This record gives sequence, C-alpha cells and structure tokens, in this order.
Amino acid sequence: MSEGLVCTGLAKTYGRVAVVHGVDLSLCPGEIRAVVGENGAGKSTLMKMICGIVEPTRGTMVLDGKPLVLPSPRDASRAGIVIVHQELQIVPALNLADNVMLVRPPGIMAVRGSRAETGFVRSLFNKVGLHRDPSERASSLSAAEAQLLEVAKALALRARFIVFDEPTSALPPAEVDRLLGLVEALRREGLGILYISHHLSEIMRIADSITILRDGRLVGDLRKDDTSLDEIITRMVDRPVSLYANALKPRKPELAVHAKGLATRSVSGVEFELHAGEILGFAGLIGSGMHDAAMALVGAHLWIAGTLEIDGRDVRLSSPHDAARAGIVLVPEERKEQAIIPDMSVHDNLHVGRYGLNSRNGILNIRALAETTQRLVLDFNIRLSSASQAISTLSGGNQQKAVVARCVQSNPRLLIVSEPTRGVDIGAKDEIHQRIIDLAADGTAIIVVSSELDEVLALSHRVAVFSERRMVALIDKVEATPTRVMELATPRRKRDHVAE
Amino acid sequence: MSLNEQAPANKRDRETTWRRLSILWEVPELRLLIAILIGLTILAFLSDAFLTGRNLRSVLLGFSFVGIAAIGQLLVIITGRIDLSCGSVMGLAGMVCALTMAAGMGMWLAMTAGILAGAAVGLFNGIFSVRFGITSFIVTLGTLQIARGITVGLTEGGTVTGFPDLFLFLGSGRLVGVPVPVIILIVVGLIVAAFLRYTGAGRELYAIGGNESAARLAGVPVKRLQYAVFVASGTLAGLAGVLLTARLGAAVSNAAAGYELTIIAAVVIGGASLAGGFGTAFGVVLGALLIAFVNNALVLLTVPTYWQQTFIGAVIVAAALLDRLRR
Repeated sequence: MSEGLVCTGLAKTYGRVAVVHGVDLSLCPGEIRAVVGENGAGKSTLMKMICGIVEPTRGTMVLDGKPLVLPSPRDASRAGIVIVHQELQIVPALNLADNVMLVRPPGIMAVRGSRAETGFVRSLFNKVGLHRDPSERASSLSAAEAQLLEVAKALALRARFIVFDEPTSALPPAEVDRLLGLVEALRREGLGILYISHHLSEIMRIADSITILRDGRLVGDLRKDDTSLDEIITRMVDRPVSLYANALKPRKPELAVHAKGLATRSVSGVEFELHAGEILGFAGLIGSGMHDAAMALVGAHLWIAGTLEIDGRDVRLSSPHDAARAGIVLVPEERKEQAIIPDMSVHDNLHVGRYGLNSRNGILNIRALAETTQRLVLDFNIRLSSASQAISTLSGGNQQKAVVARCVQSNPRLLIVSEPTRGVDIGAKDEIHQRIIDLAADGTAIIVVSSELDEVLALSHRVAVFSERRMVALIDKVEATPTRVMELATPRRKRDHVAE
Repeated sequence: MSLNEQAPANKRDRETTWRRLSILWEVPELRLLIAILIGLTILAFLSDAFLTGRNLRSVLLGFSFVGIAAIGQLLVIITGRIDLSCGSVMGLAGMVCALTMAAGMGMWLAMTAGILAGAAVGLFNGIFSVRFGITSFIVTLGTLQIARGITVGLTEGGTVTGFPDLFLFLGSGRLVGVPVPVIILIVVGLIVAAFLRYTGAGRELYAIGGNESAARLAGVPVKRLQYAVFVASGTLAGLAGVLLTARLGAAVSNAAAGYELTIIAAVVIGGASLAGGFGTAFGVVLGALLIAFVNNALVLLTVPTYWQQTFIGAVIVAAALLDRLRR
C-alpha cells in the first residue's frame, strides 16, 4: 500500500440532515489538493472530519495503509494531520515562542524562554519565513504574519499533512503571493496539503488536483492540468434554476431607494436604484461584504462615503433606530445573536422596537398589542402554544417567522432580509419565501441577502454581486445564471493585480 | 391540548391545578414573599419584641432608603449594566441638600439641588459608559470614589445640622401611622413598576438586557435608554440620600457608605439577573425587605454585632443559589 491519506465514503449527518454524503478523497505526500465548492457545499465539514474535529457518521480513513480513527484533533495531530484554521488560534497576550510551545511540540523539552526553546522556535520561523524574534508579543503580528505563525505551529507538531481553511481571505494581495510561495515550498519538503479556498485563481496556480463538492456530494476529482476555470465553476454550481420564477410580480414604476456609492470600513461601492415592489438580491461568497452592506443600509455601521435616498429624500442614518424611522428595517443575518431576545416572550419579541405603534403618549395599549400579536401569529403561521412562552422555546423556523413578522409589522418602505432561511426547515423556508414575494407584490422594496445562491436567484428581479468587500456588479434576472454570478463573485485577485 | 382531551376529567382538573400552582412557584416575587412570611412567623415565635408596631416601623423605615435606591439600580441592572456609585451618590445628595439649605436656600429648592446632584453623577456615568464605551463597573467604581470624595471634601469630613421641622418630618414623620419615607418608596415603586410594564421604553429595557445587539437592530434607541437608566439611578439614589439626611437630622460625610452592596444585593435577591433582562420593582422591594428583616432578626436574637455581616452575606449567597438551581 502506498504512502498517503485515503478517505473513502466519508459522510456526516446531523439528526436527519445529511451534510456530507459519502465523499472520497486522497492526498499524497508532496501533493497540493484544492477543495472547492459553494457556501454550504460541505467543505468545512469534510475538513473537520479529516482533522478529528467532527466524527464521521460513515466512511473510513486510511493512513499509509493503516486504518485511521480520529476521536479528537489531538489524535489527528499525532497522526501528522494539522489544520490551519480560518480564525487563527493565537493568544495575543503571549509572546511568539509561547504561542508555538502551547501546541506542545513532541521531542522538545525546554524551559520557557530558554536558549533551546528560542533556537527551536527560530528554526521554525526560518522555514516559514517569519522574520520576527520569538520573544515578541503575538499581538504585534499582522494578519499575514499570524498565518505564518500558524504554519510554524503545524510544523512544530511535525505535521505531514496540513489543511488550510481559506488561508488568504484576510490577506492583502502582496501577502497572498508570499503565502502561496510558502505552500509550494512545503510541497517541495514532501508535505501533503489540502487547500480550501474560494479563490479559484490561487487554486489554478498552485494545486495539483482539485476536489469539487456540491450539496455535500463529490462532483469532480480533477487533475489541474486537465481542467479549466470554467469547467470548475460549471461543476460547482450546475443545477436546475428558480422555483419561483413565475411568482414574481413586475416592479412598480416609482423609485423607492437610491444608494449612491455608500461605503463603510468593511464594504464599498454600494450603488443601486430600487423600485417599489422590486426585490434586489445580494449575492456573494462568505467575506464578500454583502452582509456588511445590509448593516450599512440600516445605519448599524458608520458610513464613510456615499448617500442614501428614500422616496427622493436624502436620509442620514447613524443607528437602526434612525433607519426604522426612515422606513428601513432589517431581518438580521444571525438569528440567535442579532434578532431574537431569547428570554422574552414571543409577544414581546414581535413588538420590540415597535411598541410605539400600539401606544399613546408612551403608554402601551395592552389590548391593541395583544390583537396585533394574534394577527401576526395567524398571518405568519407561527406555531406556538402561547404567545407568552419564551421565543427560545420555538423551533428555528418559527423564530424566524416571528422575526420577519416583527419587521413587517411597522410596514417598512425598504425591507432587508439577511439569510432569511438559514437553519430553517424546508416548510418554513417556503412560507418565508412566499411571504417575501407577497410583500413585494404589495409594493415594498426588498433586498434579499443570502449566501445560498439559489435563494437569491429565485427571489430577485435583479442581483447585486459582491466580491472582496465591494459591490462589483448589478445584473438583471435574465443574465443572472448561477455560473455568471459565481464568475463575478469569485475573487480574481491575480488578474486585478496585473490590471493595476 | 389534544393529549389532555383523552385524559379523564378529574385527572385533568388535578393536573391543571397542579400546573397553576407550579406556575405560581415559577414567579420569583411570590417565592420571595413566601420565604419572608415564613421567616416572619418563626421570628414572631422566637422574639416577643418582633411583632410590635414600634419594631416593624423601624425596620420599614430603615429599609425604605435602600429600597428607593435599589429601584433605580434595578433599571440599570435590567439593561445588563451596574451602578456601584449609588451609596456615594446618596451621601453626596444628602450633603448638597444640607449645605444649600444651610446657605439659606428654601427647603424644596435645596432638596431639588440634592436630587439634581445625584442625577448629574448618573449623567456622568452614562456619558462615560455609553459614549466612551467604558464598562459600567469601572466607570461607577470611579464615581463611587469621586462622589464620596466630593462629599468629604465639601465639609472636610464634618457634619451639617439644623433643618426646618417640615424637612425632618419627611424623614421621620408618619402619615396614618406609616413612616413618610415608606410612603415615598411605595409611590416610587408603583411608578417604576408601571413604567416597566406599561410603556414601550420599559419593555425595551428588558430587550436591551436580553440581547443588546438584537434590540439595537430591531430599532430600539439603545443609547438613549442607557443614558436614561443611569440618570434615573442617580436621581433615585439622590432622593434616597436626601430622605436619609432628613431622617438622621444631619448630613454626615460618610452617610450611606457601603450601601451600594446592600442595594445591589436587594436587586439580585429580588429576582434580577446581573446579566440583564430580568427583574421587577416589586421583587426588588421584597429583596430589600428580606435583608432588612434578616438584620432585624439578628439584633432581636442578640447575635453578636461582630457576626451579623457574615449572616447577611450567607443569606445573599443562599438566595442566589436558590435562583440558580431553579433556572
């Protein structure tokens, strides 16, 4: 049996939901294998299974001909498989040597701060090209240097296989080259690399082989030299389109929203005209800035450039409270962290931020509140035993319906829904989609922000595509095929770099 | 519901009665009330001096100052923040009131000045914790020292006395047998309870404490309300301080020193969570009452003064533990 890691039929199900269905993957020493797929294609789960973070439901792994079982990340690193996480695992208050030694490298016993330890750490730093003294604080590192420190930690564990999870997403272009150089150097040293990235240009540059996932299934295992960028994108997104195409009503003539070059610290170039009754989709990969654009539009992030007009009036928003008064409301991206007040009743959750609609001179009209609650619960088909139960006791789908009901209650001019159906069961998903379409038909201008491309394409009249923290295109429904949107959304730093 | 329909009628009745009772037990205020009543019964048997009008009045009077300040504190704690400066604010407000009165200002004006001094400290707390984003624990730990320092500095550690009778009446007089500060506490409690229950702003304080970023994105004017609660806490502590001065007949520079701990304990025993999102005015009043009665019991049962603090501390921990076990 040859050297290397061979995974056969790896599968993971949570409850009844299958996230990864029987994927095969092999990795040889001295090989760079890229793993690509849309958001939610199952890349992260597959990686976690290989690194011992998640236990596979089915499937086997074999290392150098011997069966491999990984109950914990520690076992994986003992077997020589180490992951460099997207969110770096660095303790800023400690110095660089301490950060390396925290992983407890095998084969070195040295007193903290001793010459032996410093020498060991320095030799690792030389290998990865981190030109820093081991006694410096980790908080002084740039994002790129922190990444190098992570690689040094992996080498300290004598890794034979390193998994990189979106390593370049936080790096400026010049640093990307340096990291790709390092990855190639590691390959020359005989390490096997699994490289997960949305950046297809990087993959075309360094990968030897490419694993393509879609909806948790393996849809391609290609040699880089035998394929092309177009083929990869087609395989990533190929599937039937829109379910709701005919349900969308034509937009109304009057202009409702006009964003002119809106920018915050985390996204720029947000520019569009939105008519009453029109649904605009925001599409992009994770980290593209589309969610930041949604936050900017409700004044939750500070604007540094641009203006926003509602019905021709210029509005300045410095908080979501201002936005609500201007008629803009947001169904936030993260339900648990940003949308529900978990310990409050469903009733209160339906009214929070809008008590004014059912009160006079600040005093609540208890009866009107109760009637509104009853109406919303019926309208939105929120399944509950009593409106006074804590909202955290509802299912995810019903919580989400309550959040949408809250936002719609104040009759907004512009409704922004971020990830409207994330973590929601299929029935609730349809209801929410239908509700969004109905609201548009009634004349509300709507923005749907979703990392599920299908959802954006199904619901929108037009699609704004975000990439690398900028709005890069605004295309019509007819043009917006999955392949076209993915092409626009995929960062092509290399090309831009040359163009500059 | 469909399950219940198949159950025999009498069993169903028993179940609903039982459920109703268990719902009552779920209400923290009622549990506290029951605990207090049990405690009082035992105390009445153990000590003849307990169930006398004189004793009860003095307990109620003593607890009313803590109670008023604790209601202000509750508003801050519901939003998930804390105001450690309340004890010092009581001292400062009492002193400002006394000094302005001694300087010849009218009684009502002087009282207003005292209360405004409290509100000013609250505004300061609000500016530094909301505008500049410093943890309220740290900001109010600072103002605890600053306000006390000003109180001591204004009088160089001295005492101010010599007040009009009407002012003294507000501190130790009675209306239909009830001490005036107790009446003021009841009025303040009712107003705040109604505010929390029957106004949108009141409900939204719980939303801020329950999930601040969700409240903000839902359009709640979070910053404005946070300023308001710090000012309210300062104002009510100021009122309590002015009344305490009236009660003592003197403004002392170390008046109400250390009260912040009793005040916060009353709020927590009353069912509020320091993490925010919970708590009622009624619960806080009961919490303050429980502490007052424990104090009183220790005196009546002639527990040595040196040990009383230990008992109070034990009661606080026990109350918190009970609450924790239930959740």
